[in-house]
Amino acid sequence: MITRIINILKSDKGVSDYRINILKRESYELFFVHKDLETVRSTDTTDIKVTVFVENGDKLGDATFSVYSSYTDEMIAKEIESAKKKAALAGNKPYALPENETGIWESKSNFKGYSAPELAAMVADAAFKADSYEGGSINALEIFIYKDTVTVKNSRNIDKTETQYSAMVEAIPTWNGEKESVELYECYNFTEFDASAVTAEIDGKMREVRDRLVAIKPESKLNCRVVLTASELGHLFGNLASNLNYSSVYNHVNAFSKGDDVQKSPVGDKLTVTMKGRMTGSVSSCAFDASGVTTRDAEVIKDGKAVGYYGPVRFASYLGEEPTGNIRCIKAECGTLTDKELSSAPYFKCVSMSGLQLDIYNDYIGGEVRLAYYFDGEKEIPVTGISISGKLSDALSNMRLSNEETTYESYKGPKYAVFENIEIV
Amino acid sequence: HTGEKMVMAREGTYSNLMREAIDGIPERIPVLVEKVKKLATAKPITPGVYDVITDPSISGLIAHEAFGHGVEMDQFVKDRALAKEYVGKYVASPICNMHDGAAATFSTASYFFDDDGVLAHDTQIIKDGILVAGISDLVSATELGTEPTGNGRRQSYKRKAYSRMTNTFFTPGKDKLEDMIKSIKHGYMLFETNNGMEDPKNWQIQCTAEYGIEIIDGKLTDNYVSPVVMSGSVPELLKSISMVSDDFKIIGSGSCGKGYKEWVRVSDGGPALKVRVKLA
Repeated sequence: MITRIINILKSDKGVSDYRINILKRESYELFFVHKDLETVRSTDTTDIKVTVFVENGDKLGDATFSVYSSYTDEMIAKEIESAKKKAALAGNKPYALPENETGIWESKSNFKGYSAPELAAMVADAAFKADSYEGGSINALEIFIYKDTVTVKNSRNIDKTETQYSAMVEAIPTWNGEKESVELYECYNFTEFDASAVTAEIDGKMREVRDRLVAIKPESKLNCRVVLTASELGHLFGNLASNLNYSSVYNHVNAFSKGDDVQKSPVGDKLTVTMKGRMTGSVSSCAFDASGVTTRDAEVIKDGKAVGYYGPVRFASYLGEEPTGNIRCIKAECGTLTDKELSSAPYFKCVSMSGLQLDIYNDYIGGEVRLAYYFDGEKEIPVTGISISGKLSDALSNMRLSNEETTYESYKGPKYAVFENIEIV
Repeated sequence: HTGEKMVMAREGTYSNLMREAIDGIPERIPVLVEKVKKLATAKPITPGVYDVITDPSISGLIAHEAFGHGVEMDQFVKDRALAKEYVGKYVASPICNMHDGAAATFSTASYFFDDDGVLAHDTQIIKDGILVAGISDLVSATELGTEPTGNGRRQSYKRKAYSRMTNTFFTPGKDKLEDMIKSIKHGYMLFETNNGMEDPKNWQIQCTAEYGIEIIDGKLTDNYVSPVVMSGSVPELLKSISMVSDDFKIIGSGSCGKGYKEWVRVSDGGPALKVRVKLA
């Protein structure tokens, strides 16, 4: 099929350049309702997307279409013709497409040692091992095992393929009290199977949902430091870094540029963030991006200042910079805050939020908290039904970062961070 | 760009006809310019519980997040939805009526049949404040012994079908918007959906509006606040609905996920609502 597509593209003089992106996904999926296996799915699908580039005077346009396995040569030719017309309407500034690079990669993973059904069953066993509490249970569990073969080819001798392994577990831990029942949502992605790690992850959520049942709404306003953990920190630092993506800078939607202070007058720990293409254990790790650029790391924030940009080839080219590829893994340096120092004064640690709301333009950080632990100086008390709200610039300037590193999804960095002056409402 | 901060705003036109959507753009430009100037002066809101008027997009967000997810009947099968225990009971103010369906109105989530092959329906979910029905796919309906409602949708042929919303909205009432604003001594009118999150088990809601305008002594002021996060208990919110405007707008540019996956196109909307809710 690919050879046929390439031959048709090459024979069409109206096509200046082309790119073909292929995603072959083999999946094995289990859907449990309580402990009953309701549905088993297995898929083997291939997505082919063809992008046609058309030079139009001093402009370069492109248009993309999908090709399905049932397409004849005539249908492919018709799609190319339609894409050429659309591309001719898109008058973009030209940029140099990636060229002359080939390679084959395979992400590090022990998934290869198992068949997909075997692995899915082991993941399910590991998850349900945590369903061992009187009063608590896993209401629903969905397991997705993926083997992805990602390929990009273009008209300039780019031909790269990477095999990626990943798994996703979605679990709904529930705790039933006398009068009510509460739940939390857990979504856990990994690339290396470790049964004890899966059990520990789900077990941690089971204990949190147990605490959510007894969690109280504070009678009076809490005034103390707010602690955010890895999942929220990945979102926060990723949001800051996105302002330094070439596309944000070129389109003038970045809130700050190279040389600007990301943290204004920091009195806490200074932030250093590197965007990475490959990170062991991360489902966002990739050897190359969709354009075919081999990914490389970029330090974007150093000691609280924006120091670099990153991003895809098109906008890198427009800005006269070297592309890093569209990289999505985040590495933040740890700070100086110890557990002992954290426990030296009251704090409010958010462990489950509906979603951390960030608005750089309006200088806002906040969100609804489903479960937090309020440390009153002696013990942690589970708390629920409240929100946090504050000025983002203020939070960043007084931020203290844990001296202990952790990995969560596409984030590697401080296990937690402490913020002053965030209101608990 | 004010020199101290950068502000972004958006305006849009909505139609199922491309020509209509494009033709509507020029008249939105001066509105957009005025809006971004006002947003440049926006301040953070003082957190608290307020009387609020919601614009149709926020009304739709409430319908979708607060209630829609809670009545997806695959959640009934999993004992994940508190709403299951409230079928036939009051869950909202008696002036509140809500629908969902691919055949309930004509918008982005309209179709003739769902991904299970069940014909599209118009399902009334809340009637005069009482929860009367949920929405289901074929598997859930079979397990519950109910009729499927044409809400079996999948992100693509590669994904499983689940019970999903389509076009979800409150129906118009009898009040005039200007009377609703006049009825508020101190509160806000909220505009433009940013995002929302559901919690069907515990019936909590978090919705974010792009901005709000302060209402003082029954009049809209020049005081803008942004962003605004609305949160709290769904039954409390819906039972607090005290006025419903007589107009209607449905907005079809959103996507909805089941957790953080399974994305499908949806629309939501309705009239303006007067509610009492926590803002931060």
